[in-house]
Amino acid sequence: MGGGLAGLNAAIAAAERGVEVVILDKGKIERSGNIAGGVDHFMAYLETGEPWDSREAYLEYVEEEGYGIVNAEIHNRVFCDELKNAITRLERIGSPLSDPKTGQYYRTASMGQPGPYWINFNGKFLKPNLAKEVRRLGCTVLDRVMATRLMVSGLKLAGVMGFHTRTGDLYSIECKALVASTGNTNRLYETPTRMLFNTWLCPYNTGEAQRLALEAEATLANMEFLRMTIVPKGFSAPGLNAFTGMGSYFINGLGERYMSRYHEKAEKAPRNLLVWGTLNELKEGRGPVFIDSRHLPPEKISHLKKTLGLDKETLDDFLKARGIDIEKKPLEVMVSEAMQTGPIEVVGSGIHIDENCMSTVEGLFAGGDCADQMKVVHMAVAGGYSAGKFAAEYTLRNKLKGLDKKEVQEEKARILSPLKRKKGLHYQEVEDVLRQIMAENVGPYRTRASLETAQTKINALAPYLEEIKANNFHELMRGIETASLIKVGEIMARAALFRKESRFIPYHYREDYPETDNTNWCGQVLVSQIDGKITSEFKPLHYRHGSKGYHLL
Amino acid sequence: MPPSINKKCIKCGNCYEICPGDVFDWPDQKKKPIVFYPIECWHCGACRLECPVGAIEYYFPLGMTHV
Repeated sequence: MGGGLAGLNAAIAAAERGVEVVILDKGKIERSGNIAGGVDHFMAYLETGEPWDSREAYLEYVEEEGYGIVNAEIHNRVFCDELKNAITRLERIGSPLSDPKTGQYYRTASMGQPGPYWINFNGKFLKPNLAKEVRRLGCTVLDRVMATRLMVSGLKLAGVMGFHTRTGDLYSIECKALVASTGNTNRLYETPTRMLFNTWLCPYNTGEAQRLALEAEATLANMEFLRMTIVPKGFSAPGLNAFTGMGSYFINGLGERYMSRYHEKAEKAPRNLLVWGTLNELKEGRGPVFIDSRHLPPEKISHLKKTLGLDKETLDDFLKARGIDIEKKPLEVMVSEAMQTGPIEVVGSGIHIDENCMSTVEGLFAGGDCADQMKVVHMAVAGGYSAGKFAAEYTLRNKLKGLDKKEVQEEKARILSPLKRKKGLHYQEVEDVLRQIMAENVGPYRTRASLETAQTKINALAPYLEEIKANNFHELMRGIETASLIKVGEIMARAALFRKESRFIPYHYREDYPETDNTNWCGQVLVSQIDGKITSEFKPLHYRHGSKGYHLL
Repeated sequence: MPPSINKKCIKCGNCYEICPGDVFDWPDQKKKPIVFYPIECWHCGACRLECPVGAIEYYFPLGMTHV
């Protein structure tokens, strides 16, 4: 379920093991998900002999960066065990991480890494190349089919239902195992330009897996964390890694390199602190803020310009339209909208998985950004593959459970009901209210009062989902996305209220509990919905090393 | 803001096929596809990458270029 980067790698793993694979995607798998238009970076250690370049050093970095919510044992099994295979696979399908001319890796360090773990590469055709491999392996691809419900039988995954977003054809699929891989949740918070699809990551990723898994009674984790980044003023586009990796400076309205006030690594601090520092500069009236690259040598400027275009196909057009040449002029930037996703590059948020990528519902697996221990490109490729591998192994030991015919009929009627309403609300009207509630109350500054306010308002908004009218199957898809957004928002507010401390500020910053409390809150907040009732609980995590903390200056 | 389709279009429908946001419609296949849901465009560039003749151009609204 979800044919993005993680889903396609999962499909490849399962098909390679002789399992019959069906892929559902709202888009067309050649260009769908967060890297539809390309990507430029992949995090990896390469075992070159440098002390920071080993599995052990990498896992220490993972524990340090994800302290409190990351499970390094899962990371070790799900990511590290599959890393070499992932690098070989990308090369084999025609999107190598190394420079095809020189065979060398272009490596940069940022985001608090102990060494240059980012590999810059040309991922412009990564999705089409993976899609070609998936089709070559004989997987059945259902492009433009949106999943609307997971079917469960005797606490085990039994199947999935959905509809074609152009023809309206309904699908009910029986399966022994399912890999949920629909990514993170965007379109959840007001955007700085107030254009709802002008989002950093894919606005068509709207938390379907998180909602459907919760409704199937699977547990979610790390849902309290939001994530924001620094983007060009006016355009929520990726590219921050490229700037910080090359050594660009962040400067405020007074011309000061302000990040050195917040972290010893200045612009190479973890992303959350870049956002924290920038929010603070703006709050205290030292805006506007800029990324200045004018001091970079010509070869770094030319590399930077090239990678920016690989990460966001249209960024160059945008900079031209805005009249910016980063070589000659600082680029004005802004803090992006928030989203639901793992707070940092090495730990996710969403479906709570075990060391076999399985959720708390047997047969339901998760990979990529919708899994609580996976995050971004490197985990989608290696971790997505692991999810497919473990799901395939599971199917070989298990039988089909069968679908309940009555449940199938009920779901068919439910899916189509917004088309049958004579009048009603446009999905956007409901979504806009949700985005405002989230931005005002569940944003980078949270309190008990704001989170309780959000819960009250979201609960009052939710019944209006039943009044959304769709004029065609496209609008039907958008209305169902709205339902997922409301559920994700509700769970975020609930989990954020439960965690009475601050962590990865400002991704979970409680004004009423501003300190990180490793004595009482080193662990994950789990959220479940059983028989319609939502509950939260705390799962402690233990680490080999103590946290060195953030070195906040 | 979103893509627009210029005169070079050969009516192959690739943009309509590929768009991850289902932003295009193509009701009459003798004519060019239509940018049917312009506000839903993510500016991902997939349509331009898949267009065989360079018929896709991007425009950005003032709310993006002049804020």
